[in-house]
This record gives sequence, structure tokens and C-alpha cells, in this order.
Amino acid sequence: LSANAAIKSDQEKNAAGVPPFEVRIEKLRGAAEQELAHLVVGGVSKEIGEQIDALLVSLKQQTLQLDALSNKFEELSTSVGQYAILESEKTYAHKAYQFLFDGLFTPLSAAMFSLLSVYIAAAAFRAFRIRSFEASLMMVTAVIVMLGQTSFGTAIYEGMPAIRQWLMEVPNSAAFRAIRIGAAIAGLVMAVRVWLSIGSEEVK
Amino acid sequence: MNRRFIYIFVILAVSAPLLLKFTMKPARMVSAERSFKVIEELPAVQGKIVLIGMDIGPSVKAETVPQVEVILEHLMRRRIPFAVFSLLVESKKFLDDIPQRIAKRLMAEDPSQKWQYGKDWVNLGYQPFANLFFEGLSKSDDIVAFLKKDTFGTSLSNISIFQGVKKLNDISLVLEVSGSAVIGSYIQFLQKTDYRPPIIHGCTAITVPEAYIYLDSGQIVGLLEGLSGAAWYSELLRYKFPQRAVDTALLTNTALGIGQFVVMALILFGNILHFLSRKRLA
Repeated sequence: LSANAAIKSDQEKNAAGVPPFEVRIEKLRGAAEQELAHLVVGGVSKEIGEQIDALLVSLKQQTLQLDALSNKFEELSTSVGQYAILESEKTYAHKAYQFLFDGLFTPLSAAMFSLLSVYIAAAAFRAFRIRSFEASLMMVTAVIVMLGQTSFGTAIYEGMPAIRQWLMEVPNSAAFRAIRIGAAIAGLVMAVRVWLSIGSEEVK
Repeated sequence: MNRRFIYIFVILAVSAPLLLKFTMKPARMVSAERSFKVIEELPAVQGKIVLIGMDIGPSVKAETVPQVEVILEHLMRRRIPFAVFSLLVESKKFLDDIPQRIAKRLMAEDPSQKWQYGKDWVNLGYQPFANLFFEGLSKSDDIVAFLKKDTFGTSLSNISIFQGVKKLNDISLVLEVSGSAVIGSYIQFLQKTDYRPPIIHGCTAITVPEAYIYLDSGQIVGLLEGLSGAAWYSELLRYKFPQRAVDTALLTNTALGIGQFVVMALILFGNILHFLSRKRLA
């Protein structure tokens, strides 16, 4: 009803020189399309495009500046580290520490450990005798393991490191795992005994 | 035989190759090859770091320092950043000296390249309370905030190799070198529910049998077995970088090999004497 009334009103106005509703709509559409074409093809879109381009250029410049800044930061952090090392090396405390560490602590500690080599050699010569099957087995295994990790072993037999590897991976791992599991179970048992005070009567 | 002669034999056998700089090709070590392969396949990316625990003292220097040297050299050649630390207070000097020594050697080999503190490695110094330290590191959402500073007091946030390092997941590999059984703490505590960094273990020859159980179970991905492991790793580096000079690992391993050969010869000689004396008594 309201649409009819509007048409009637238009018709009445038309009589007074106002163009009909459809014509006005058509004109409005044409104007809107022109405006739209202006927006899309030229005018504003071009301005926006230019602005975006400028923004991109600026962003690129800023990225380059940031990269340069990051490089500078990296150089600075490296210099700070190097400076810290140099400064710490200059102090008397550091020099005294170096002297005592290099001149006393290191040689004495190393000498203590090095004694093992001569004692092991002397002990092996005196005590490592083939007296039983078990002792023979142990000696053969020890010799294979030692030869397998030295240059001489490879010179004697190419496959010596592989035999050593097998000895370490299979019998050795099995034995060591058994020792570890046994020790863990024994520790658990002892903890439970202490916890429940089992055997404390006998001690008393 | 007078034991003084045995001592002289051993001293001569060990010191002669060192004085004459005589080297022999080391025996092949499969576990060292596995370690080499792990580092060779490690990606060198920003935001990932390798953690190196140098739990070594002067007493085990001869065996463990060559292990650290070859691994650090490999990491430096591959430009993989790493952080060194120690659970032992007496390791401080090794933490300071070894990376610098390797960097100097590499720069002498190729003067066009540069390796610098802060850019290629960081020294985190002595870290007390092993288990608590590892637990804190594993649970931390910001490792830089947890560790705070390097051994010289420089804030880690100012050190470039820590850029992007946030959690345990950003630790791409852990290397632990020690003369004792401290590896257990690393295996037990350095892990989260969703991530456990691969661990390479370097040990003295005396702890090799124990270390093998962790290698066999997959809890460690590589093992350097005493000096022999370091020597074979050094040989692998020589294959890859032919310009590389002979290092201490090869030299000391040769001396050790000759020393062991003398021990074997003495055992054999001792048994011959024992057999002859038994025969005489019979």
C-alpha cells in the first residue's frame, strides 16, 4: 500500500515537473556507477595504491634498518663477551688462579691418576696368571677388549674391533644390567627394612 | 723381574710416541661413529642450541679433554652454536680454555673464517646441584630467564645465540663428558613429557662398561669410549676435513695403545715365567 501511495505521489509530482521514480532511480544508479568507476579506476584507489606503495617502501627500509640493527646488536654482544673475557684475564686473582691451577693442581691430579698405568702394568705381570678356566676366560676377554681398541688389534686381525664391540654390547651389558637391577632391588629391600625397623631387635 | 724395570718399560712406551709425535691409525669405534653421525645430521638453525656438560677435572684430563675437543671442533666447523657448563667446580678452566683454543686453531687453519665468543659459543660456568639444575631447566618456559647470565656476568638476553631459545625443546643435543657416573642425572632429569634431548656421552675407559647399558637402551644416542673413542672421532673429522692437522687425541691414543701392548706383553711374559717355574718344580 505504501508503495502504491509513493507511486501515486510521484505521478502527482511528475505533473509538477518532477521526473518519475524509475527515472530518478536510473539517474542515481548512473551517478553511483560513475562514482564507483572513479573510485576503482582512478582517483581514490590510485591514491590508496600510492599510499600502500609508499608504506611498503618505508617498511622495506625499516626492515633493512632492523637487519642492520640486529647485526650491530650481534657484534655488540660478541664484543661484550670478548671484553668480559679480556677483563677477567687481566686481574691478578685470575693470573694467580691460572698459575696454581696449571702449575700445581693439574700436574698433581694427573700424576695421581697416571700412577695407575705403572701399577696396573706391575700388578698384571705379577698377578694375572692362568690358573683356572675362569682366569683363562677372563684373560682372553681382557686381551681381546684391549686389542680391539688399539691400532695393534686391527693390524693383527681386521675384525678385532667388531669382536670387542660384541663383547661390550652383549655379555658386558647383560652383566652390568644385572648388577644395576640387583643393587636397586637390594637398596629397596634395605629401605623397607629400615622403614619397618626389621632387624633392629637383633642390633639391640 | 724387578718392578723398577716394569716401570721403566711403561714410562718409555708411553712417553716415546708423545716425544716423537708418532701416530698410528686408531681402531674403529662404532659408538663414536654414531656420535659423529648425530652431529653431522644436526641442523644449524637460529633458536636451537647444543648444551655441553664438561664434568671433568684435571685428573681425567688426558682422556676427556680430547673428547671435548673433537666434538667442539665438529660443532664449530658446522657453525652450530653451543653453550658449555659444568657440574664440577674444578672444570672452570676447561670451560674457559677449550672453546677458545679450538677457535684459535680453526682460525689459524682458515684465516678467512672467524669464531667468536657470544656468536658461536657461550660459557655458562659452574652449575651447582645437578638434579635441581636439570629439573629447573626442563620445566622452564624461558631458559634465558632461568639461566640469567653467562660466567662473565653478561646477560644472556644480550647474547645473540640465545635469541629464540625458549624451552628445553630448543636444546637440540646434549653432550656430557665426565670421568664419573654423573650421566644418570642427565638421563633422569633432563626431560619433559613431550621432549627429551638426544644425549651423547663421553666417558673414561673405566666407566665404559656401565655406559654401554644406556647406549643399548637408547637413552644415549652416541658414546665416546675413552681416548680410543676420541681418536676415532678425530680420524672421522680428518676424513671429512683433510686439511685438518693431527691433534692430541691421535697422539695420546697411540701412546696409550703402545702402553696397553706393553701390559699385554708383560702378562704373557709373566705367564711364561709362571709356566716354566711350575714345570721346574714338577
